[in-house]
Amino acid sequence: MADFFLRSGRGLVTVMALFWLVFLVAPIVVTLASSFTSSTYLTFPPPGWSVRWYLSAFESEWVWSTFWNSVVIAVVSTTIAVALGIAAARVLARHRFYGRGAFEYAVLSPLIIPGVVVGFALLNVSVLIETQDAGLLNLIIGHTMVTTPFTLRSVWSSMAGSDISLEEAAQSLGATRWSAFWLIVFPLIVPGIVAGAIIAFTFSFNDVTISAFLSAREARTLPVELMSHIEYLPDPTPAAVSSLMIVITLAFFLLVERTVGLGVFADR
Amino acid sequence: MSDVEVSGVSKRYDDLWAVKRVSFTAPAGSFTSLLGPSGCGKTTTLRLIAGFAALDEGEVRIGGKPVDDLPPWRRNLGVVFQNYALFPFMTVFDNVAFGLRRRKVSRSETASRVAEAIDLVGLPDLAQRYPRQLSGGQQQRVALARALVVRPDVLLLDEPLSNLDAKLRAEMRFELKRIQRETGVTSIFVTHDQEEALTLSDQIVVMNLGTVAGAAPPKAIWEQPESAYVADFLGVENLFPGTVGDGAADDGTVAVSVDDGAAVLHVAADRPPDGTPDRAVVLGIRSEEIAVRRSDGADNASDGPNALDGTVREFTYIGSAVVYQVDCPGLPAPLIATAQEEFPVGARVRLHLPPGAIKLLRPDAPAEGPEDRQ
Repeated sequence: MADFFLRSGRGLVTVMALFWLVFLVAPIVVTLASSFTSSTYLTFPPPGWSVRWYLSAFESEWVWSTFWNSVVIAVVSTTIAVALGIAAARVLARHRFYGRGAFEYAVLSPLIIPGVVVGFALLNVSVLIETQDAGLLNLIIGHTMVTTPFTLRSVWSSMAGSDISLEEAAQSLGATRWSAFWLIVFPLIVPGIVAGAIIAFTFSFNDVTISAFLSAREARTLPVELMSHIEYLPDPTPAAVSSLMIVITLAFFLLVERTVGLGVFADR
Repeated sequence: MSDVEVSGVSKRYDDLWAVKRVSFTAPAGSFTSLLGPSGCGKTTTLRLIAGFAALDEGEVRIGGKPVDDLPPWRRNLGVVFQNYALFPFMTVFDNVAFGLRRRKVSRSETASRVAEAIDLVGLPDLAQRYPRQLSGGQQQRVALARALVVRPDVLLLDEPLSNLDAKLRAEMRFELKRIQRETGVTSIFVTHDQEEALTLSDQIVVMNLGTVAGAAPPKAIWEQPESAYVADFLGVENLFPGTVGDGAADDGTVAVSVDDGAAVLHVAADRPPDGTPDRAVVLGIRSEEIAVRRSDGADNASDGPNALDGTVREFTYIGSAVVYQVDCPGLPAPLIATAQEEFPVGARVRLHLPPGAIKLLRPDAPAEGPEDRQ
């Protein structure tokens, strides 16, 4: 009986691996291959090979301006999300208070609510407070809202490993509340901060749904601009840009793996 | 070296008084134990002294100065935690040096004082190891060294031995005593283990339900506990409610009726602090002070006072002796007695309770439930 489950378990793993190959890896391979096409329209398999669309991407003004928009938005919103995440995680890890459960749900809710709903709601609010033209600001606020649950979760779980008595020990030895946090708690939650920041950054950098609602004319993100290009123009430049984004993301994770290790993504 | 005066200290959490009007003094250089079961408020009291929690009433003075307005980092204390609370990402050296660095002690002095502290607690050369690479006993010593290296006015220890195995615990008990004697630091030690409290302390403060149930040196508290609760916690196995009869007999004993007169025991007359007739008391006697021998069925009047016949209900062999549960008519619960001799279950035995060995104890107020502490 156990043998049966073991064997069917192995079979299940094989099936899962196949699904993973077909649905996740295959599209990436297709995109990478067709970005090297020599034709003027997207097709797979490509009739010939060239790097002209990469040159086109590097020469396109829209790629660079929206790329920098995306970088600024991702860096600023991730920084704020990390700060908020640390503060909220500390409150949740250290204090028992009335309405704690409700607070927890409120902070984690953007994980559950669909991006379209969040984007639409934020758009309405920005119209209401007449900031709809401040695209960059709206995007930063929106991305911070949606990425804070990620940083909160990962910081919180790393904080659970730092016993309150560590801070008390530091305080009894002469460290103020603030230096006890910096010298003792902070080093222990760095892995959680790094993990949360990477997820937040990646989410912000790749997000389309929320950004589509909040992008004003002068403040569009790279994925949003890519999408509208793909909609209206048949040229393969977006494929080249997408391939670059894939490579950058992979390089990013490789860097993390080499420095702090991918274990930071595992819950404790 | 400073004394610690805790006067009328209270702390409530929500609607519960964790500590209620607790007072005691730990003289300078002494070793004081706070002894009691879990939830009795002993750890809360320690945390109030350390400044980890703010008290709601009363005052804590260290070396004569009130410290209630000082945060923990200004109190110059050493604290050893139950889980040691060593900083996991720091080496032994950095752990011990932490307090000195906060005090801006020079690099060379730090090095020599850390070495001195590591030597004092009897640690081998492990300065560059990390806490996770050490055994429990070694971690314990590092925690002690870290607390002592700053030359604290007071050393606070929160059940530091409870995470060690029995053999190591006994060893560390001697070590604690040696270190405390060598440093002469005023120490306050929280424990639920009466043996630890008895062996280490100059003074034992027994706590119950957030209050002090009794405070005395170990010998005094062992020989004449203040109340039935204290006696119970210090391992007096046999406790029975009784009423003092009127007047001393010729043999210098007082008759005390047990369980509304079902049995009468004679207690040395010098024992009751006051011979008030009809006073409600609790009689207490330790198992090893009861003599057990085989009953010959004869009349026991010739055996003097307090000879009781009973039946062995159960026994356990503990190596050095045999512990018996003996059912005696007239007593509300079986007597616990120890003897060298072996008797089978069901054997008729005769127990002798020396009048001088029976303690007359103040009954405690009816046990307060948590709701009464609001």
